[in-house]
Amino acid sequence: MMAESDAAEAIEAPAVDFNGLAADFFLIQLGNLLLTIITFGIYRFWGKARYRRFLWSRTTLDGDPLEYTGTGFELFLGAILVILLVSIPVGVLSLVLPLVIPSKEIALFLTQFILILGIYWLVGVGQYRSWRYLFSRTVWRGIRSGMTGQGVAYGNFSFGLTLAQLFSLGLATPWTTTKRWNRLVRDVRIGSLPMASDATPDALWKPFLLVWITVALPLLAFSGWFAWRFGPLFAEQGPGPGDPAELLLAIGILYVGLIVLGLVGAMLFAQYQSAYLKETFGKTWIGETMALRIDVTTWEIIRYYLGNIALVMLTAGLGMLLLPYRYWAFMARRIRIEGQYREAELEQTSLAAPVQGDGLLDAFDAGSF
Amino acid sequence: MRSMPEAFEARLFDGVSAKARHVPVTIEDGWLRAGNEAVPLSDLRQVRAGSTLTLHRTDRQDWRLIIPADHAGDFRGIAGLHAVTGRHLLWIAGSAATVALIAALLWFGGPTILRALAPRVPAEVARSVGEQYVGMFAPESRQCRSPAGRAALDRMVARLVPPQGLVEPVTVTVADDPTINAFAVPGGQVILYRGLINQARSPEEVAGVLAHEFGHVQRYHANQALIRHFGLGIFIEGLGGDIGSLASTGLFLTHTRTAEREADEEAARFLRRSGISSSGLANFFSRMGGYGLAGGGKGDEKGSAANPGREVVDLLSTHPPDRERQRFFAQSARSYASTPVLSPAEWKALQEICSS
Repeated sequence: MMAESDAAEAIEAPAVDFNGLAADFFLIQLGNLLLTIITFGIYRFWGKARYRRFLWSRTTLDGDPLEYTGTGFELFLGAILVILLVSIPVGVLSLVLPLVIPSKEIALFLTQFILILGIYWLVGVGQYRSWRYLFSRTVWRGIRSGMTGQGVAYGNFSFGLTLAQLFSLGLATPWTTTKRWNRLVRDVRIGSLPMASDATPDALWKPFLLVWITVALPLLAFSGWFAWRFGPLFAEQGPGPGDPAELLLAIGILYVGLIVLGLVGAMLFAQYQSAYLKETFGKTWIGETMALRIDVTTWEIIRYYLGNIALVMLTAGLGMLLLPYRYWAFMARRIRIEGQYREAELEQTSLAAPVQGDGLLDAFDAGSF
Repeated sequence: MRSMPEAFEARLFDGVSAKARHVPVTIEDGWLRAGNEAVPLSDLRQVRAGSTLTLHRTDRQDWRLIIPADHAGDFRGIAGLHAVTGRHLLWIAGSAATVALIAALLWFGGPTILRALAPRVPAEVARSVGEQYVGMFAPESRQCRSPAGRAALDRMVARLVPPQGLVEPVTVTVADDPTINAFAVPGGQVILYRGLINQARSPEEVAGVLAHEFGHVQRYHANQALIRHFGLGIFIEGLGGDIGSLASTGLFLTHTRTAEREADEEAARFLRRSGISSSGLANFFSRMGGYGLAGGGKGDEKGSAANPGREVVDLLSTHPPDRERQRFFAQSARSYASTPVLSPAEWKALQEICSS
């Protein structure tokens, strides 16, 4: 593949390191919070750009920091576009449809149906555009990244997978998530280097089925039993509250049952998640000579989530400001690049960068940092 | 910045390849020389990340010069890429002023704008939206319509509505729901929950609540809520996230308080004109004291779920204090003569409207 003279120039793939301090991040976020409050929320786009700049800059590859070149104004523009192109049409649609369709029930059903399908589709488009934006605003040693598509094709692709997921009652999840990952990664360009992924669901079936069987089935059984035991309590029975002792018991059992199921489910899900991360990152390539890897264990993921919960609860919610830091640090400290890096092969991308920010995914509260 | 004729080595990235060129760097007479390139210092911007100092060029997007840590201090005079400059401050101040201006405009001018727009919502749109709410809060299967009860209710409505009618034709629907609640939704639709009729001690109390809801209809409050939701809500919440929705809740609260007061004034007028004592409404409020009567001009969801406690104390009550309202209606009742709104037999029928 490569001539021997080039091989001489190959060096070890750049080491990934993260050295940001939580305290520094917290100070940035505290300032963001204050400015967000006094600007009625508008500042949050600039705040986001600011903390992303911090996270990127404290992440180094071979000792040189990443740069985040996105701006708050781009994110602001992205949000405005989503309002104009999504929120307002959706609002108008839900107003107009009942006017044209004579039957109220059918109109209501159709509106909901179209909205839900539309949102599933948009979430896919939004996910792609979010990746595209983040890659296009990430620079290392003057080299930008990007994605080759616009997001519509991926939206269609992802929509089909979502339907498969729905019709299989979630059982197809390992298959759909690895497919999505492969499809997204295929379009990424790090400078001139393409990325590729051939992740398969093979190693994910077992941990996923474990979650599905231990959570979905007991949840069904529990709700059945609960409805049978306490159903009459919640049925219409004229004015006046039902027996308060019975009501308290029902609420108590409901909470305990859901918490136990939730905890067991979360532990098992962490196992699935670590398998998923290892499979997807582990099967991902940069160019022809570098591969990604992530070193992560189930316990680390459990500790991460418990840490998040404790952080938020013990600080009456203020700790929420640190969550983007925790997510980024968790990932950046575990991702490795392996193989041979040939400096001369990594050149500037020819891709045009998008003009506005990733407001779409944000609009559905799905953006992670 | 002092001149530095003695060169040190830095790594230059030309933005074309990721390959570093190790170049000697000097600073002299306002120029930076890096290898064979010369850049005026005013075209340079610096970015610090931990101990790493990177120089950018304003005229070449992807050009980078990474300075070794022991020389990072030599570049203190170079402007920071992300530094807050006077122009930024001007922008920030300008935007903050604009936001404040818009907020003030909406806060103080909002009610005027809404009052002007609300009657202009096309009747078909209002009716269609209202019917959706009726379908949600009082679906066909849960509507109460025992013939005798319905007749009594119709008589009550006919007496309350002035001869020239309201601004929209009203329809009152009774829902078989134990919640103590009543509300007006767009298109002149009023929904009355069975719970409210059941707890009333006299037909005058029900008539008073209906008069209040008719007041909402008369002032187009449901349409105002509709405009606020679709027009303003989408923008404020879309842009501001959580904080934005908090701001719009604030806006909502002050506006509904005004709306409730307006509906009360209309109610007193309707009751006086039809010779129905408003002491019923006064009694109702004195009994409700502390428990908010949910509702108002928007089809809100407060009373929708079958809540086990049946009555929910509103933390952020959207209504004026009940004691104040009680006093208002008691005072109004003393100022005119009244006759019973329903006969005892009719009242009994209305109380049993849900048992058919």
